[in-house]
Amino acid sequence: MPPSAEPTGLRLVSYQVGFGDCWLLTVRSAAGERHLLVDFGTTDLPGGSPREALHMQRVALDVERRVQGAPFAVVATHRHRDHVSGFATDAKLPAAAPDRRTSGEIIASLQPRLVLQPWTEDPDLPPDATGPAAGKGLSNQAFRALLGSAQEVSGLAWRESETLQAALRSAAYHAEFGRELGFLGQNNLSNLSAVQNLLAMGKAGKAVFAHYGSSSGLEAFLPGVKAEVLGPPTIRQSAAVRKQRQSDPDEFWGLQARLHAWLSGQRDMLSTANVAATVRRTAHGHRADDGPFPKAPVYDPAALPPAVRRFKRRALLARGEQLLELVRALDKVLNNTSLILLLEVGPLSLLFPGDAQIENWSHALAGPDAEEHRARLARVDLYKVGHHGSLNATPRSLWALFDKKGGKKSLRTAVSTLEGVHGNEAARTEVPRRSLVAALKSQSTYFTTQSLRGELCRELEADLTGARPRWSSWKAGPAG
Amino acid sequence: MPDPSPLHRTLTIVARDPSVERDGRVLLARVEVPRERLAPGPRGHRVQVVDVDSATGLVYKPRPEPDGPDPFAAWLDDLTLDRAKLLADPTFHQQNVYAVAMRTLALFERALGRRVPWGFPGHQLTVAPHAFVDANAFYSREHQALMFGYFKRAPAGKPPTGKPSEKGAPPEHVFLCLSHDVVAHETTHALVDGLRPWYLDPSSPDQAAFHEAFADLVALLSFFSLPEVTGALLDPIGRGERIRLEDVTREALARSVLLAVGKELAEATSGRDQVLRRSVEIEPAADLLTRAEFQEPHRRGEVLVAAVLDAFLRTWVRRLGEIADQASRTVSRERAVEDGAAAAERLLRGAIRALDYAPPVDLTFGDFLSALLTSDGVMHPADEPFRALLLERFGAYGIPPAAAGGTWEKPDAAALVLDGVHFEALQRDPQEVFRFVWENRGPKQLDLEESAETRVTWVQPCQRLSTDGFVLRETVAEYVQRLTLRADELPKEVRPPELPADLEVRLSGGGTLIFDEFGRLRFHVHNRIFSAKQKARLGYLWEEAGVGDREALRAGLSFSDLHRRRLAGTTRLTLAETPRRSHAAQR
Repeated sequence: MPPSAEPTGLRLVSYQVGFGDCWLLTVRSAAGERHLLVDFGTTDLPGGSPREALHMQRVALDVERRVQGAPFAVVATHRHRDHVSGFATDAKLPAAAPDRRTSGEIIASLQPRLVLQPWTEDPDLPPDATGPAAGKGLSNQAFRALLGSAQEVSGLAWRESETLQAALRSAAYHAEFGRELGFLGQNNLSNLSAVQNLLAMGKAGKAVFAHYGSSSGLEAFLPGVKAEVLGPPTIRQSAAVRKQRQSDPDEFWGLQARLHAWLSGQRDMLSTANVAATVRRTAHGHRADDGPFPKAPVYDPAALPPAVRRFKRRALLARGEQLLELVRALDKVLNNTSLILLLEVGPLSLLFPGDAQIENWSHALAGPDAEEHRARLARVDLYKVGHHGSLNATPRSLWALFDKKGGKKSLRTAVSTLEGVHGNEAARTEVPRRSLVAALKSQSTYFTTQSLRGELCRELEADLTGARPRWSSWKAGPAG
Repeated sequence: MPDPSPLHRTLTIVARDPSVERDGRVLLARVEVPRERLAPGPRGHRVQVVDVDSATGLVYKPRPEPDGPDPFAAWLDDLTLDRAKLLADPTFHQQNVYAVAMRTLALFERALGRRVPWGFPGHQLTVAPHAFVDANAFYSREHQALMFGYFKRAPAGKPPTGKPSEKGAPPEHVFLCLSHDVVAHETTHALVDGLRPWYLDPSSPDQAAFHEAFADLVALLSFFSLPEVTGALLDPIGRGERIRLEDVTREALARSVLLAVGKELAEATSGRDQVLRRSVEIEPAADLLTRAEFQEPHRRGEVLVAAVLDAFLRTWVRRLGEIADQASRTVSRERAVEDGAAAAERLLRGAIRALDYAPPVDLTFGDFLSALLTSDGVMHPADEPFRALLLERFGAYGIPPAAAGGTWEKPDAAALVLDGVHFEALQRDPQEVFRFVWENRGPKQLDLEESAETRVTWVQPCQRLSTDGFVLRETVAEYVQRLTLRADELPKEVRPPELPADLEVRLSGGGTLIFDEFGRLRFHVHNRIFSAKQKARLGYLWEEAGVGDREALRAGLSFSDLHRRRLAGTTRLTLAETPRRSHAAQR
């Protein structure tokens, strides 16, 4: 008789990836260990870290050391750089690197049996069989194309911001818009190498592109574990939710549909209309001939009337502000394609929502099976805090469900984040959001990767052999 | 063409946007704006155009002599001229934004019978007609400006999909500064922000929706008040000298409205014209505002626009019935056009005047309706049927008036304390108004919360002229109150049970006082600090707040906040506002 696959314990490793996510979940049973890597990316490492290629290689080598040929699977919750950059195979390694393989190559060499991604990443997404989504004219396929546009536009907006920065030569611009635009612009850039590696690994093993309610393929990979996909909904699912909900603060796909028309315009304007190039030329004092009025008389840039000069500065600042709003909106669209996974390992319930925000949660929390989901979410033991602790990724309606929070702190919360990168405190959009962190600390056993001091990771264990599960504390990993 | 009026200047503008044509030509219109001595820009005493393009870094020069007669007048009269050339001239764009912004300002000043400030400490609003490459436009309190974007119509290498111009090829760029609707919309944001700065505060779904909805309806009605436009609306119904009455129905006009809407901006700006389209398509129902889809501020605002648009179309149809030749059951086209424009203007002025009759904080759609009915009753006391129609149509869209009888109740004059109050000073001195407020703070008079900080924020005498020449003299004053308490200090009827006891909440209240020409208090429109409305507001804000976000309920009315925002603030209302809520609800 084969040894029982019933889980006897689990370990969660949280890697230091700065502003990013990288978690290795190991499930133990009498049959041995099985490993699930949930996301592997960064956009910004803490000060004092080695270069990104080297740091991510160290993480990958540690994953390799732990897996050691055991069954291995990968989840990439969504395509943002801070969740997938480590899967890239084209990173430039310094000569002194301990291994010639890049982080993405190391992960690929572990031959994941399963690569799980949201439906929006499916390269063979068929056209919506029953036509476009209700009333919005947007099919799943079109939406996938939209995500590509979103990334492209973000990159263009970032480049335009760099040009504005050069023209303004203003530290205030950098502090208020430039820094965050640079961050979001980079985070939204297409990670072609990472995306291709994920697809190739999926092809070699098994690729699953999941949506709300669909099978994740994880139950076959992790015997004895119940895995449920709570998001993202498909276009059709979310349209159905919109009709039912009693109070919907923000429409999800409805907004995306509006964004669709807007975006295609944006991309055309900023790319093929070649405005970015125009801006660069004029920033260097050249005359732009491809503006809208090539023959109209213009002021000599070196001799602007004072009132005009004053306002020109304001106009450039306003443009920066506007670009930031645009890029934030696009960032949110991609965040909302995150897989939301609820894993039940023995008696323990673990929630990995990627960077999902309220709109992505809509189907799970307000759809036809909401009651059942709510009951299961109430029992969550460990919550991987959404979107690095941002204001919008832990909806109040979700937080309210967790029964184990409160004075006894039997709820465990964990966040992978880096301060001072995303948002700003004055606008109460800083990540992690101070007030959310305070609530997490006071009502749960809280862990943040910011507590890692030079360590590569920390790990948390749960022993499931007794009558009740026993948690360890977050223990130090190998020295970094 | 000589411009004979000493008070006005007539200027040529694009009637709606360059995609709206009549007989194959872009529909132009001529508007009157107040005459002033212009500097090149044009730069006037309230609106100055500075043509900076942040995308190219270029600043387009204005016409050197802006004070002469309309340089573009010939384009409207001479049908042989190629209007595509006009649309490719940036100085025409400069004139177009100046004219539409000034016309919108003049509409407000005429309706309110007084000067209207901007929402920032300056006199001149700067307008940038080609500020950036983007399908967007916005008002920025911080930059004291309106900024309009432009963009290429189609990607390079693909055939353009736009409407062909007279010359066969569509213009390469789409300019938002040429859209009457967009310019009027953004100017209205700037004006409402000057009149009622607290309407940007977090309060309720209605208030979050109001700024956008009001800007939309002013833009629509000011567009429909152009005879060129109402003429075009009648085209699908009949182009002869007389129109058959049976053909002019509310439904036929609604169809025309949709035809008249330009397609140019609809796709690119994700929703400007969609607002109109969706508003026309909303089926009236008493429960609209309680439905899930109408909790989102933009969608909610469309309900208000729908009610006003419906009232406009029905008023027009009714007026045509009244002036029709009863024997032939026909109406003169010329009269029909005039009446349509007049109906739009009547409603537009009423809507603007309603701002003066509305509470300064925590506005609901019902407050707006009561303010509209009250101000109309004062201005046109005999036209009861018009108000009955408004009441009925708003009701059909689920907007009941805030006041039980529709209009605000008059205060009990006998209970008011007038000792020591001087009417002369009451018309312009906030100190004097404050004395009046303080003396009358009791529950039988103005019913103010005594423990709150109270401030009279402005007082202005007004001389309002009705469309039929009637002059009404009034003085309008505004006061606001604020009070910060812990949740457990709130009276039971105001405290939502879910608020943690030690949560600090900032409460606001305030009122509008309207005195008649003899210094008697005609109306007092107010929201008390402790009220059921306040409870609803706190519950809504707490519901909307993030986990642990204890500051959410302190973000309301604050004098210092307002001051800071006015000086260096962050208030910005954008045209598309695509993926976000309006500022009022955003955190």
